[in-house]
Amino acid sequence: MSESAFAVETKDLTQRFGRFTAVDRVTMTVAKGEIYGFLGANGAGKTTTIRILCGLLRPTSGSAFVNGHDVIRYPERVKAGIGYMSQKFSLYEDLRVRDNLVFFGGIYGLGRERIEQRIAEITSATGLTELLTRKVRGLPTGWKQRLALACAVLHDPGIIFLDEPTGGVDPVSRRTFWDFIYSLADAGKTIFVTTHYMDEAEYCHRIAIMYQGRILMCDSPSAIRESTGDALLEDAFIRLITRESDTETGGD
Amino acid sequence: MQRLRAIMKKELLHIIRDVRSLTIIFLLPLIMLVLYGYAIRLDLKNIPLAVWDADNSQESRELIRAFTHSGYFTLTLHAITPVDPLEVFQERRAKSVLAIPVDYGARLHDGRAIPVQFLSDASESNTATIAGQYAEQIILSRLMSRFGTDAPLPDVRALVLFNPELESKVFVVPGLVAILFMMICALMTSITIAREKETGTLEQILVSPVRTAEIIIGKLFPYMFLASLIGVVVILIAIFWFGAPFVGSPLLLAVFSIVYLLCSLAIGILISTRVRTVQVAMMAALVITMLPSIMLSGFVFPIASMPLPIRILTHIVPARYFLVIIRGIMLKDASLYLLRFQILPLCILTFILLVVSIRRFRTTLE
Amino acid sequence: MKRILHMIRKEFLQIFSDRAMLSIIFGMPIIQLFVLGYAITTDVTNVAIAIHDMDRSQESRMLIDRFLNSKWFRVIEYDSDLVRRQAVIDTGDALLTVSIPEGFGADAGNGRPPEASLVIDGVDSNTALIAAGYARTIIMRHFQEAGSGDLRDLVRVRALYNPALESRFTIVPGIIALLMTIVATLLTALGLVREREIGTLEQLNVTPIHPLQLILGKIIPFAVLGAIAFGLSMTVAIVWFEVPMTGSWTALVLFTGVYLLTALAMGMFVSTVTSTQQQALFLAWFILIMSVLMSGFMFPISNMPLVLQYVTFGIPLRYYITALREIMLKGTEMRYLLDQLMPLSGICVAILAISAGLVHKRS
Repeated sequence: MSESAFAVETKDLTQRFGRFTAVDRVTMTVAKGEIYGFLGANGAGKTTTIRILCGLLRPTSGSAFVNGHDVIRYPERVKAGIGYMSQKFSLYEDLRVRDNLVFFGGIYGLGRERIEQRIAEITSATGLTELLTRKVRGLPTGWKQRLALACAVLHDPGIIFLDEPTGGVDPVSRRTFWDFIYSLADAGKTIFVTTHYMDEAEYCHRIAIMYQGRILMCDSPSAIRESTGDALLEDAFIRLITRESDTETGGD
Repeated sequence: MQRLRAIMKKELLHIIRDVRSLTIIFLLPLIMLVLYGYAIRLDLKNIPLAVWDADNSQESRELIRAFTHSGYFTLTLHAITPVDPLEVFQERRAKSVLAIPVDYGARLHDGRAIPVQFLSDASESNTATIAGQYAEQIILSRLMSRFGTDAPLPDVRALVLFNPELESKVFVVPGLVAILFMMICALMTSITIAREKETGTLEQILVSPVRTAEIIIGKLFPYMFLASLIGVVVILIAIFWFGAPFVGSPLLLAVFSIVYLLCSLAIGILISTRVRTVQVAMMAALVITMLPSIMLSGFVFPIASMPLPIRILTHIVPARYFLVIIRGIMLKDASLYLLRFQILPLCILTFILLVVSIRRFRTTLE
Repeated sequence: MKRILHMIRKEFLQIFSDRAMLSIIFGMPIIQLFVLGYAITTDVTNVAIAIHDMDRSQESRMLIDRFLNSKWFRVIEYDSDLVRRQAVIDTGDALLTVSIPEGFGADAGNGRPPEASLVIDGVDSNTALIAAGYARTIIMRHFQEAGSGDLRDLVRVRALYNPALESRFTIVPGIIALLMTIVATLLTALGLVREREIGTLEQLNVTPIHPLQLILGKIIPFAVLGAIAFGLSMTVAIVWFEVPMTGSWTALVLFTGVYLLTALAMGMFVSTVTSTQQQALFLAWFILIMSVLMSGFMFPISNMPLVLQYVTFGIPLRYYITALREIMLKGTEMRYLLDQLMPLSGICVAILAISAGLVHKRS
C-alpha cells in the first residue's frame, strides 16, 4: 500500500451488465484536494463509476485505486476513508436529525466524544444546529440534503463522493451547499461529484464529460469551452455529445 | 372514465410487475390445497403404540392383533418384560402404552376378567383423546364377544351427508377461498394505499382533476378482479383435480363473493387511512384480517367449541358468515332462505364498513 | 463491536419512535395468546344434535338422558318426527342427528342387537368424525353397562401428563412457538427489506461496516424483542392458562435460544430474496403457514403420508414445538431431547450460513 499522489486513479475501468456496457475503459486520475466533476446525460455511466469507486460494485475489468487502496481487492480499506452521498438522501426519516448523525458516526467507528465534537463542527457549518432534535420526516428537501452531506462527512473522510447531490433543491440551498463543498476542498478534501447541471459543473476544478460509458474529454471548464469555441459550457457539452453521436451513426 | 381507466391500468401494472408477490399469492392456496388434500388427515391412524404383554398368552396376543388390525395403531414396541410407560413417552417411542397383566388370558377363561391398562401421552391432547376412545372400543368389543351372550351389541349405523368420505379437502376449499379474498383485498389494498401515502404519489394523484370515487374504484377494482380470478382458479382446481363437489349455483356464489370482496376492501381502506407506513399497515392487516379469518371463522376450529366471549367475538369476523355461505352453496346447494342468518349480517357488516371507510378515506384525502 | 452497538441503538430508536409499531410488537403476541389460547381447541364440545325418538320406550329415554348429560353435545331438538331428520342438517341447525327406531327397547330386552342410526353433516370433517365417535361411544357404553354389568372397569384408560385432556395444554405451547416465529422472522425480514427500499442499506454498504456486523446489529434487537415476547407469553401461559411447567428452565431457554436464532436467520433469508416489504411479508407469511401445517402444531406428523413426514424434518418449528411440549408438560430430560436439539441446531446453522452468504453477495 503505497502513498499515492492521487486520490483516485483508474485504468481501463469497465463494467458490463449482460450485453450492456455501462462503463467503457475509463482511465482517469483525480488529484488530492481537487473538485472533480462528472458531467453527462442520465445513463452515461456516472453513477455506476461512483458505485465501483465506493466498493459497491465489482468491475468487470480494469483497475481502480482510491486513496492508494485497490478498490477491487480491499473495498473495506477504501470504505473507511470515503464519504458517499446518493441522490436519494438515504436517511432514517423516522429518527431525529441528531440520531442520524450519531448513528453514522458510530458506524464509521468514531468514539462518543469525537462524534459529539464532529456534530458540533458540522452542524454549525451547515446551519443544522437548530434542527438537531427534529425528526427528519417533514424537513424541507434542502435541509435533508445538508443532513445527508453532514452524515457523509462526519467521519472526516479524505474523499467525498457526491452522486447528483442537488437534485430538487432550490438555488439558495444549492449555493449554501457548494459553499460548504468549497470549504471542504480548501481543507484538503477531494470532492468527486456527478451532475448534469452546467452551473454546478462550473464550480469544479476539472470536469470529465461522459457519454455512453466513455470519457470524451477531461479538462477545466474554461479549457473545454475554449476547445470547442463556445461561450457557454452547456453549448460546449452539447456540441461534444452531438459530434460523438454523429461519428457513431456515420460509422455504422 | 378515461381517468378511471388510467388509475386501474397503473394499479394492474403494479400487481403484474411484482412477480414474486403474485407467485406467492397463487402458490399459497395451491400448496395448502395439496397439503389438505394429501397430507393432512384428520382421522387419526397409525398411532404409535407400545405393548407390555406380561401375560403372553393366546388371548393377549389376540388382543394385540385386534389393536394392530384396527388400523388405528402401529406397534412400535412389543415387550414381555416390564415397560416403563414414562420412559417410553419421554423417549417418544410411542404415544400410547397397552399393558396386559399376567393371567389376563387365564382369568378370561374363568370368566373373571382383570383390567387391561391403556395409557396415553396426553401432551398431545387430541391424539390422546381419540386413542383412548379407539382403545376402549377395541378392548370392550373383545371382552363383549367373550361374555357377550346376554349383552346385545348395538348396531349403530352412521350416514354422512355432503362429504361421505369425510375428506378434509372438501371443507378446506371454501375456507381457502375466504382467506385468499381477505389476503388480496384487505392486505394488498391497505399496503398499496399506505405505500402511495409514504412515497407521496397519492398526493400526486390528488392534485390531478380526479374524483375521490374514481380513485377508490380505480385502485380497488384491479384487486377485486385479481381476487376473483384466483378464487375461480382455486375452485376449478379443487373440483377437477381434487374432486371437490360443487352442487349449488355459481351465480349465487359470485354475488356473495362480491359482497365479501367489498367487505374486505373496505377493511383494507380503513386500515390504510389509520396508518402512516407500509410496515404498520401490513402488521395491522395481518392481525385484524388474516388471523381472525383463519382462527375465528370456523375454518379450522369449530366455533361451537369456543368459550362464550370468543364466540361473541366471532360475530364481527366477516369470514365467519362467508364461510357458511360458500360451504352451503358449494356442498349443500343451500337456498337463500336457509342462509339468511349469514347473508343478512354479512351485508350489514359490508355496508357499515364501506360507508365508514369511504368517509374516512375522503377526510384523510382532504 | 462498537459498530454493532450503534446499529442496535438505531434499531431500538426506530422501533420506539413508531408508537403504532410498538403496540403491535408487544400487543399482538399477548392478545393473540389470549384469543387463540381459547379459540384454538381441538376439543369438540357443544355439538348441536337433534334426537328423533320413534321408540319412546324406557330404554330409549335412558339413552337420551345420556346424551342430555354429556358435555360433548347440546341437544337442540328432541321429538319423534323422522321427517325433520334431514331438515335440521340441511339448515345447519344440527351437525348430527340420532334416530332411535321403533322396537329399539324391545330388541334390547330380547337380546337382539338394537339399531340406532346417526346422520352427520360431513362438511367439517374433523368435527364430524369426532362427534360421530362420541355418539357411538355413548350408545355403546349405554349397552355395556345395561347388559353385561361393568365391563368398562376392565379397561383402564389413563391420560398421562394431562389427565383432564385439556387441549389448551397442547395448544398454548404451540402458540408460543408460533408467536416467536412471527416476531422474529417477520420483523427481521421487514426491517432489512425496508432499509433496502429507502436506500439506507446502500448508504451503510459504503461505510466500513462489515456485513456480519450489519446483520448482527439488525438481528440482536429483534432477538431481544423475541425474548421479551417469549417471557410475556410464558407468563400468560403459566399464570393465566395454568399450563404446567414441569421440566427444566435451562433446557427451555436453550431450545428457545436456538430456535430464536433460527427464526431470525429465516427472516434474514426472506429479506435477501425479496426486494419490497410486501414481498417479504408474503414470503414470511407463506413460511409461517407451511410451518403451522407441517410442524405437528395442529395435525400429528405420524398421521401424514411417509413422504410428507420426511418433509417435516426440514421444518424448524417442528422441533421447537416438540421440545416446548416435552419440557413443559412432560418434564422430559435433556438427554431425551438431543434428537430434537441436533437437527434444530443443524438447520439453524445451515440457514444462517445460507443467508449470510446471500447477504454478502447482495451487498
